[in-house]
Amino acid sequence: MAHKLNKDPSVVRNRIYYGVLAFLLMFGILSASIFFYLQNEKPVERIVKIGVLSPISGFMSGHGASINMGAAIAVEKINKEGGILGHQVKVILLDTKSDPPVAAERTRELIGRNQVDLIIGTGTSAETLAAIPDSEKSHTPFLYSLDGEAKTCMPNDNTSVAHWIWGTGFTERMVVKPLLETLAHHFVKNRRAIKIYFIGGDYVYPRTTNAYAKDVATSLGYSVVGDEYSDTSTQDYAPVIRRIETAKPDILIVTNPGESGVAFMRQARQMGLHKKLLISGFATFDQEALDAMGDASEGVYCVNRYSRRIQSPANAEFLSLFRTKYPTASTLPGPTAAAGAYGAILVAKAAFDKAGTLDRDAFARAMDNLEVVLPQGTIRVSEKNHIFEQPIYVMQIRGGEYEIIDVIDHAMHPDLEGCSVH
Amino acid sequence: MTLFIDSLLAVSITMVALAGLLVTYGLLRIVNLAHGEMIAVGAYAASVASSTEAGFFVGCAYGFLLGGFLGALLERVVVRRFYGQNIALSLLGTWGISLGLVQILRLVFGPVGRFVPVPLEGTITFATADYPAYRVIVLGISIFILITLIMAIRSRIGLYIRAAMENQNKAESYGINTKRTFQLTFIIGSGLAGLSGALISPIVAIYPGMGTEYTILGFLALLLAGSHGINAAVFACILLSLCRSLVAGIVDANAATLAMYGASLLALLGFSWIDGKLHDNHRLRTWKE
Repeated sequence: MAHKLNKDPSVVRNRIYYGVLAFLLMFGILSASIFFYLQNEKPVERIVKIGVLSPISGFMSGHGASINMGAAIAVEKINKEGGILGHQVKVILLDTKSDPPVAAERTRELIGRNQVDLIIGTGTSAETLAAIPDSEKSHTPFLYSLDGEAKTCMPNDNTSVAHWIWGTGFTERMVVKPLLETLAHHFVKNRRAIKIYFIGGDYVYPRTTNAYAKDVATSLGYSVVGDEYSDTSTQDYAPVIRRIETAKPDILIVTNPGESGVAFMRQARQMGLHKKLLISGFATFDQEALDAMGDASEGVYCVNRYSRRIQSPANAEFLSLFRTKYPTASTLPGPTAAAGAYGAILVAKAAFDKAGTLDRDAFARAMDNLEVVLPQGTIRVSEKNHIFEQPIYVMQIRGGEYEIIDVIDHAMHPDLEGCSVH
Repeated sequence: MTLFIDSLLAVSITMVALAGLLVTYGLLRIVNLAHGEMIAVGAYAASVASSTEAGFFVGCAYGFLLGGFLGALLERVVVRRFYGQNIALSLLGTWGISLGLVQILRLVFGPVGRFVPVPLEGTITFATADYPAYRVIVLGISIFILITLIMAIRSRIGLYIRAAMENQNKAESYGINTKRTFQLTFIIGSGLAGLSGALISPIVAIYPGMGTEYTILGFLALLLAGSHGINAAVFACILLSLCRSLVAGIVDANAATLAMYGASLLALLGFSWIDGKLHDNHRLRTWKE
């Protein structure tokens, strides 16, 4: 009976199947171990790895594209000039999907699997906050490249500065007052009773920025007539625009970065809102957004740390590098994103050069009080709060261009006020 | 009054955007989750056309043709296999297509948004408030599309489609080319999606994933309509979108989203309770089959 069973074709087929499977498995294990053996044998040249957390998809995807371009030019420039302390630099780009949990996951990936020397990037404050804990825990320097409220304090201790986190952009405390005061100049006739309305996307950055701006506006004697937040997936802003019309403010502050801000501005323009009041805002009128807003951004006031109109050798170099590498890019260097990522990498290089070693503790010490000339002007890394002290420009958008109307030479963030890390 | 007219205008935008989806579901029982991406394709077509000499209205025509072409392609390759099958198949299949299309749009146009200038500037003053002229035009167009659809479904063509859907063999024996009928219906639905994308492009932000919000609303409406066909779907769609606009007008945009989802959830629970009482769960039948 036994030999009869063996001849059963299904049993034979099963045996062949298991045999092939076992062979494949053995083969896989063998080749993998040979591969790793060879890889470990080969003397690996030390390269400097820069992890970039970029929102390539999701609602901040416009920023993502600019971050990637800025980082690519910076690394190309550094490698052409001999790298960092003689080591070549490599960018490791991961997509955060504009989503904080994904950003946290990608941060662990950069630290654990890729063992990067430093991290830059993210598209929103929420993503930055998600990336901070692991960077701080693993002693990986993280230079977040976007503007926003201070995020450089220790987790669980808002009075002392974090060891491994730096803020390259400006905070609301550096820009709100200059912007509001400049806007007030346009209401000289009726400056005593300026009415102001705030709108924004419903997440951390718009809410904290507007909350602070409201305090400043109140202290300047303006009356706040409205304050409202909409989910970033909102399609129809007509109800919001109606409420603004009813409140009859003189100034409207829009803190709605990304595509939702574009949708709002296009609909506001079509409903004739720009004829009734003066529009300004934070992080909403970047170059990327401008290309998508078209005429809807005309006449808007904004404040930023970069404009391609800045006349300086550093900016001329940045612009020529950008145009050589991306001659067909419809988006010219965006203020916060491309120039921001480029600047963050140049500052990191300067710190490594100053330290004279790739050692992380030496890097952190070298960052203190470091001064670097960037396309945006000269910045200084504050020892007290790790936030870059930098020039700030008040601008008006005319014909799709940022015309600089006022410069604050050296804006500083006061200590660790308003730090949003918990 | 202002609130009501604003809501009406918002509903008309949604109706224009979802007309194609309602056609493919109502007549073919295919839930086309790639509808939103077809909208995006139409919007990109309009933005490309209006940045050249062709202009916006040629862009709308391109949108319709491109949507239709895409529909023809998808029908031929994928959707054809889903007629009369379990509805979950069409859900999964078209969802995959939708993900692919978003990536293709991103590859071709980049992730940075584009814009389309409004073909009709200015506002129309009525009673106490100003309304954007273009939105009023869209309202007109949505009414036109709705009436055309009703006429088409009641006409001989609509009869053929419904016959083909009801009993394919019998319809064939009466001389109806059912394959061709299904194909044309899907192409028209997709063309409508492309056209609607072009039409709404001056109002919204244009980016690869722009259609998703519309697909979600449409999906909810279809879920509510169940097996009750295209009329119920249109009705559910109008109700949901009206609910969202009114709440957005009275409270704010966040409450509106919540209200819309909450209302549909309640309605679904209510329906299933009633169906249970009647021992007839025909609403879920289409979804289970």
